Amino acid sequence: MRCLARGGTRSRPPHGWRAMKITVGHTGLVAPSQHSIPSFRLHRPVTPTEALRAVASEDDGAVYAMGTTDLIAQMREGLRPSAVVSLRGVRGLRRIDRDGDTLVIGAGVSHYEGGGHPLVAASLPSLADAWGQIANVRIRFRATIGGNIMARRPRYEMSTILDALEAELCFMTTNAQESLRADEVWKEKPGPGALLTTVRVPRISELQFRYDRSNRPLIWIATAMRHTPTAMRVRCAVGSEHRTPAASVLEFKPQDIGPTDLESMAHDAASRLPRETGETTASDMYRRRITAVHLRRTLGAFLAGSQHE
Amino acid sequence: MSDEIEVCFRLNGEQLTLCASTNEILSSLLRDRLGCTSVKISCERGVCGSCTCLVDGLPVASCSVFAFDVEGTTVETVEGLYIDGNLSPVQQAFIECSGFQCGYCTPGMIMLATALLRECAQPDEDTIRSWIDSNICRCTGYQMILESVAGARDLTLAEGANP
Repeated sequence: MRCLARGGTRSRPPHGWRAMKITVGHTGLVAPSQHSIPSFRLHRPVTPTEALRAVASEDDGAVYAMGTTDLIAQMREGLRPSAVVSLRGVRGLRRIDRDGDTLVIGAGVSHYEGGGHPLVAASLPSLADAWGQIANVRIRFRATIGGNIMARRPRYEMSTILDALEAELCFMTTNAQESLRADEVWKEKPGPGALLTTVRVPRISELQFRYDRSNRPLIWIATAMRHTPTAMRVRCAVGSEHRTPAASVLEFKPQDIGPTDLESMAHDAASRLPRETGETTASDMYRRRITAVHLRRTLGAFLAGSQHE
Repeated sequence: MSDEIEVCFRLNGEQLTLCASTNEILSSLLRDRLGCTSVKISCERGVCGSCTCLVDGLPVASCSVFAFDVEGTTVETVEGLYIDGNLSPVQQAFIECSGFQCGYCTPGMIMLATALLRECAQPDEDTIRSWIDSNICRCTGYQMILESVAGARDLTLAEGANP
């Protein structure tokens, strides 16, 4: 097999897709393409337990696959799993239902299914509206809520939305079940092999929710307000292209708030966002300013509405 | 290490059974092995939509789908729209409204429009825009494409034809 020589007389390189594999593997001169997708073993379980067993049998070399919109991109970027566990045939991952006052969403629900589902719209219309705006129509048909979360790409939006809603992410492992907050998946939790099965939005009747993605890719902001018996609790989550989502929390009693207090409350909440939200597209100061403006308007709208959604 | 796997699916009305490698991508299968060269490979990231085909009636980026994932499905490409010497209403409208220049994005746009008109027989301009927003065109500035889709809608309604 001949390869490109380093200087001197250049020998004829191999051609076609074989050349792609060689050059990707050894020189980095050619961008990874579909011809450089690595080989892998394929598992196609039909239950979550079978899926966990399949992953366990591969000694940490396996990945889960559902919509594959992000997985194939990752494989082109260098991910080389020994096995792929396709979840498309696994029962129970595409459910959407209510468990009392909790909205339960299967990890395999596509953005198209979720954004258009009557139960999501009935439970929290603004969540259905936000979900239906993610990506574009073509991607929404294929990409899933679980994939969006577990891809762990800061520019993907569901983590920001679910962080604001204080959603619970429910995982199965070979030993137990584990629940995490949306922000915890950025801390490399849970461990490898855990299977995200459902997303639960608790106490949904308490919620008002707003999502603003008009400033993408600079910033997007999800704000949820919970009406509790004693106070209002507002959680504002901020996403950006290159930084993991950050959140800030307010608690107050509506009767204690005057019309001029919203500005200072919003400014205070935005100022508590971490300095690390800054990046090349916008400084942390600019990002906090946008957040403060959005939050002031949203608080005003929430309080003026004074009705749960 | 690559396993071969049998994949049975329907392509443009024809039932197929073939062996595919587990790491084979749908766009490669369609283009390189099945001759559906209307499927164009461009970004390989599922962003541009030039590889758009329909899987069970839904538009997908075939560059971001494994071949094994179409097991038991119906796959459609532009090659399947031309039936018995007749262009589909969408193809006809793209010609009449000059909905292309270089033509590279056109098969993807046509499949996207076909899926739209099957989903919604009378899409308004905003709906057409939101769907066509899924795919990229570097030539036309999109206006002629939007007019083509609207023209296909009107043609489909007028003739009572299937898109």
